[in-house]
Amino acid sequence: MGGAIVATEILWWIFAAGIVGAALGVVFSGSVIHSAIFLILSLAGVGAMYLFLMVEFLALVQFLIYGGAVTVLILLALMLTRMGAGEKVNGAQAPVAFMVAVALGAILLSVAVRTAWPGDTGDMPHNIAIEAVSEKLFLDFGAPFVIASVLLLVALIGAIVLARQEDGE
Amino acid sequence: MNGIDLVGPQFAVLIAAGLALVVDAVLPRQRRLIPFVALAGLALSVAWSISWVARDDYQTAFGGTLVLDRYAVFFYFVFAGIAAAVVLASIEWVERAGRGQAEYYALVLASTAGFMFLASSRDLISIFIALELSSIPQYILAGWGKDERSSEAGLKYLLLGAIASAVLLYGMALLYGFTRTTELGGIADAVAAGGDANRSLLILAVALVIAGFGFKMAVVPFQMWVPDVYQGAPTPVAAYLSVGSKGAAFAVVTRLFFEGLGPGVASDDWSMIFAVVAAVSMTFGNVMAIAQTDIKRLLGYSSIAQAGNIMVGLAAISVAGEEFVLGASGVIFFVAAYAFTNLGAFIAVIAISQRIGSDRIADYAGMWKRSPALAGVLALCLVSLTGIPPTAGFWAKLYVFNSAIRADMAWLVIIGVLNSLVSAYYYLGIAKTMFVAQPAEEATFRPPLTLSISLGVAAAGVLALGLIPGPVLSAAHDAAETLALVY
Repeated sequence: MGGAIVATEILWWIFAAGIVGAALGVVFSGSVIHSAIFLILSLAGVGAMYLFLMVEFLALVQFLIYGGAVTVLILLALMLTRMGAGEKVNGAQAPVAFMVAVALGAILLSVAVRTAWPGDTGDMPHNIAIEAVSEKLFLDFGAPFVIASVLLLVALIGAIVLARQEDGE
Repeated sequence: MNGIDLVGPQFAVLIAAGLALVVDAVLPRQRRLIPFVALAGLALSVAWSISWVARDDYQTAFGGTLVLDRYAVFFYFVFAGIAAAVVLASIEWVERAGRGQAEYYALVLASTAGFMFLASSRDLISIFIALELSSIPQYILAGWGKDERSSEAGLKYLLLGAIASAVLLYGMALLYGFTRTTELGGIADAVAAGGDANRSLLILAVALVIAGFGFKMAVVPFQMWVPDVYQGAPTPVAAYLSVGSKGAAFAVVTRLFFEGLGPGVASDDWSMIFAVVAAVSMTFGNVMAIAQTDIKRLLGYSSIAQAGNIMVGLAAISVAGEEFVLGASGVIFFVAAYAFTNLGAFIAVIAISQRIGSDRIADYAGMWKRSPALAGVLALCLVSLTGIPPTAGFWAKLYVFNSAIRADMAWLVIIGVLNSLVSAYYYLGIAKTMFVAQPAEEATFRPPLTLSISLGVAAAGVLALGLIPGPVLSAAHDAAETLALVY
């Protein structure tokens, strides 16, 4: 039993390092296409984290929507806008942005370490039934769910209006 | 049906948005009707809100994610009024803009529904979704014009808005991680139980949340986008952004701090955050406004300063007791007064620039001789923005500064009053240009009927709130008290 836990913990650290490494790759890689591919790796790693937490539904959603749909969309958009592979993506403010990011990261880390977080991953209910998820989604959070669907419709209309070629253009 | 009834004011607005699109598709020859469909929906929304005031049967809805209380209903009226004024002020411009008319009004209405949901949200998840519902249409509307400036405004607003949303979400995630609930009441309990031990986390989470909403309020240091977006966006959209998204952000932050964080743990810390942000915003906005030659940029900087004024009320909120309500009702009243005043100023600018084709302040010379009504209303609104009686702005400032004095923040009030003097210089400078300087041409003109109506309503609102502020002040006080009842 104890061996299994240690093995899980080692795997967890490997994946954690992988996520952070891929995230750094997104920021530091020279071309946007490479960044997008690193993003897929990083998001897939987060999906694996959900598997460690035994929330299979979330893991599935993470793989399908973020690892799949969102990144495919990003790659397609890059293709359509003909962004070259060697295009420079950093501006003159990069050093300032770097310092701000490091400072923010340091603050977040020090606060996260100092905080007595309530609960433990061990207390998490395992194997949550899909019915429980749908009850939360459609009953408790029914209103935000419906508002989100209006939001999608609005975004769709807006995208069409802005992209549409008018007569005579 | 009961569920629909509880979100009736929002529902009416969304139905009108859908109807506008249907009318466009089914009756393409009757496009002129579309703005009036939008206005009818807003009227129905107001009627629905009135029926809730009459029923006086306030309750939570949808598992506590939304709530229908006096506070929410007060803002329903404010947002419906803002949307109606913006629709009336847009008609001429949208016809000439050459993009879909129905879509324009549908987006304005959808975003208004988002504001209303924000005012009634009692849960981090619904707050975030409602914020996005109100924001995304605004990004699109800011880029509605076909010139490069407008596209730039839309893109800038979208990119910075997305970053602000991410920051806000990070703060909310930290709050959730610490309290294990997204419901504001539950957060308040968890903060009261264990906030002292995790003070640094709480302050960090709240700072991130303030940063996210600070972008919408347009307070320093989250104001970089304001002048460019206000100048580049179509003027009716700039008017909408300046009052709508600012008002909604203050509505939701006030509720968040009342119901979710409240007095007690660490509240001195965030009172200090608010006070400093307020002082810096007022000073930065006013100093930058002095040098502006473009009236839309000037109104952009002035809106940063006004956000600082409203934030003085937020700083006063963190003090417990009777003053608690005082600060909140000051914020609420200020938002309503500012809505009338700034809309009036913007609509006058729309009418004038449609005629003279320029946004330069120098071109407003002698406007008094060319269109006395427009110059008069614009001057009235500028006087109100300065905070001189007998206008709405006077009572708004008095109320907010009074709450700060009761909260022992005299230094903040001194900065506020000094800033009012600075703002008088450039606000009244515009008035002087209009009344004293010689016009470049003598031809007189009148604004179109729809603009005149919305201008008249705004001016009447500014004067009515200035001469008889009692009813709205007491409504604002009642609204704030329903928040205080949570304790």
